[in-house]
Amino acid sequence: MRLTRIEVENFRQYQSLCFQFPKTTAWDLHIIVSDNGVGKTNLLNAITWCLYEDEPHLGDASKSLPRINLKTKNRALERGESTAGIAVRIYAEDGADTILFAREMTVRLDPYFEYRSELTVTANTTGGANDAKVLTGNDAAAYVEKYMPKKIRQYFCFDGEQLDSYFISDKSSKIKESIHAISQVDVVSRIKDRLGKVVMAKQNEAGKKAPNIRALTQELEKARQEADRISGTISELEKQLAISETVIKTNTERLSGQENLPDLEAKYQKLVQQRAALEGQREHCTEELFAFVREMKIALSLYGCARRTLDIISEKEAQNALPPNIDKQVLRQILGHADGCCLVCGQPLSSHARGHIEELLDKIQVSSETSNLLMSIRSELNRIVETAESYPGKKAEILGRYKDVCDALAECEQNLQAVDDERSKFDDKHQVILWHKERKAHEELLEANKNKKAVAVYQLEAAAARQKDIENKLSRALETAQACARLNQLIMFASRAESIAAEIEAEMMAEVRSKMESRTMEYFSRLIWKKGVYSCITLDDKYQLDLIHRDGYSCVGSCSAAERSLLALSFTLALHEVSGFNSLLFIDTPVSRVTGQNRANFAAVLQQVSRDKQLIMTFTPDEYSENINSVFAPAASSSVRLAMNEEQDITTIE
Amino acid sequence: MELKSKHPDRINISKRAREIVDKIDKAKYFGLQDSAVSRSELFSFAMAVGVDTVPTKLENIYSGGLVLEKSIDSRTKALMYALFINRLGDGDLDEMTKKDQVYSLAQEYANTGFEIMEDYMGRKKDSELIWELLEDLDLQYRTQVMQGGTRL
Repeated sequence: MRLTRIEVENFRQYQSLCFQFPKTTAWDLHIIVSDNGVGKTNLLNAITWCLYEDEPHLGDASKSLPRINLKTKNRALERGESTAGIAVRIYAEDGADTILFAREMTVRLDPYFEYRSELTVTANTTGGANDAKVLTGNDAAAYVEKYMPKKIRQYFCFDGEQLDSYFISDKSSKIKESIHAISQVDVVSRIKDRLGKVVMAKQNEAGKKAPNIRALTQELEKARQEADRISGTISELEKQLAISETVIKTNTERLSGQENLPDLEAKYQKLVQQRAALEGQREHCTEELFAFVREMKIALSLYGCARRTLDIISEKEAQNALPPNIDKQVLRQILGHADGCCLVCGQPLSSHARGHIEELLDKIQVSSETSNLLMSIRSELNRIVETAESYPGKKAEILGRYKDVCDALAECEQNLQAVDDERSKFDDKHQVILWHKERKAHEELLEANKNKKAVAVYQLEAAAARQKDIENKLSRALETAQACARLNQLIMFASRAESIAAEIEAEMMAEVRSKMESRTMEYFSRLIWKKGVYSCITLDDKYQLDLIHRDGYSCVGSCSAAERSLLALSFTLALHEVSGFNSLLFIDTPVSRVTGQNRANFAAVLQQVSRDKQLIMTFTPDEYSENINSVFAPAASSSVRLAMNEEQDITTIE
Repeated sequence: MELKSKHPDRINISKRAREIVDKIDKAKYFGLQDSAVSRSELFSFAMAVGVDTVPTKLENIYSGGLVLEKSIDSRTKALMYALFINRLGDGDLDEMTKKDQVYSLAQEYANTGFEIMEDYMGRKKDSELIWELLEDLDLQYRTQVMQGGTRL
């Protein structure tokens, strides 16, 4: 790509200026000469601002004048305008394609501040206006990156005054990175990195997918063993079932016509038990009857005695013949006492009292002891009388129970006899019973084993389902394993590709480095006036440049500023050549620190370079010395001189 | 030898009656054995069996007696006094305070009763006897209870 025109509007000291870069000779060489402060470096800043919105060649951006051209600003303010515009448009061509990089910005004048600038790229890839595409934002920035990557801008737009510190200020890693980018080794590096990421991603995927086939196989084996075990159990149960069925069938045949013997036996036993119970009841009733008869014998035999005794007691009571609280014997003693005194109070017994005691004695018929005895036996005698009188009722009750039990027992005996008669018809009861028992045991066993078999069948179905599930899992796992195998192949392929990319990267880097070393040395040898002093240039793995003295010493640190500038220029030229990077070279004040023969050499070398590459250089009049001018002037396709207007605030082209 | 005391401390039986009691115990006759009924009840039963007979004086009294005073239940005691009062007739009721006479009369009736029970045992099983006794009871009920009882 080469530039065809640069238009600068209101950018610093440029109010409205247009630089044309036509190729009119065999050399695409363009010279811009101006005194210091006229705008050479700001033209470089205008280019980087347009492309990257950046001005790396400013001394101190924070202390610089406003970006807007001051005269434009003042006039606008005078006209009462509040804003003004800044614009830089770079016209370029790449073969038949034309590209316009344009950045425009509006600034507020008072107070001064800048709005966000906008880059617009208009690309006409076929030459027809109708096919032009306009890109803005990230698309426009990406288009710039395509032709002039910001990362390596110092290799096509650089300030010659800074060349002497080129290898000091720059980091070797940046050089390496830049060389990677310019020589497009980084494409391979990106491929390598991408392949590395692919390998890692696929390895992760493979790791996630990797099925544990061994575990599944073991699990399947266990499931199969479990199913086999259950099948074995079912088989065994079926054998048992067959045996039971055979026994049942055989014994059923044997017991044909004798089926009711167990029932008879059971019935007989039941009746025997019933009889025993009834006999017990009868015994109890007998005892009850005996007790009843005993009690009644006593009560009824002595009923008359008891009855009469009670009558006597009642009679005596009715006659008040029973002594209340004084004993008849005591009354007799009182009456018979010798001194005629009362035994109770000791007073002499009057005739009246004596008469009263005699009256009491006539009235009281029994002694107190007798009375007490009568009273003590009274309640028992009453009970005896009541018992005797209850005889018929109790007798009927007890005899009724006794009779019921005896009737039940008789019926039981009768039934027992009937059952026993039935049993006696069987010839070999013992054998029949054994058959019955055996059949019943097998019937129970058959039922139990059927249940067990049902459970086992259910378990077998579950085990089969589980086995099937594991088999499916295993099948999927095997499929996944195949997929993993393909994945592994992919990983291996990607790894191999990564390895190859790394090898290619290394080879390219080695080749670029080797060519860089040789081409830098060749340019440097042509640029410096000292011949044969330096033997070679080396670039280590980090692309740290070193200049080797002919005596074998590393001497880049002891080189003069001019030599370092020329060395940087040689390196840049070699880089452009080796990498094949198709871009212009804009050098601001390239020989500021170079004098004498070196300048002549510089001019000769760059003139030759300009045959294949657009070369734009700015010089001060002093730099553009005779030995430079004599070389460049005949070859230059364009050559302009910049000057300031009368107010010294606008750059113009003379 | 007849033991007489105003305050007898037990119910006596003859040696023969004692032998009958042993037979009853051994045969468990009529459920009257020692393990089933008290001796006091046995005595009452014997007294009841013998009450319609002529009382037999005790000879050759068994020294151990049949029932100690403290073991004589109130019903037996009441029946003994009732029997005595019944025998007393119109005599002095205070005679019943003569405990030895009361006991003696009861023992004599019971003594006859034991003799009769031995006769039962010799004649019939108790299971047969019971029906015979029931018939007697029926008769007694009719004569004693329904007709208001008769003096012995």
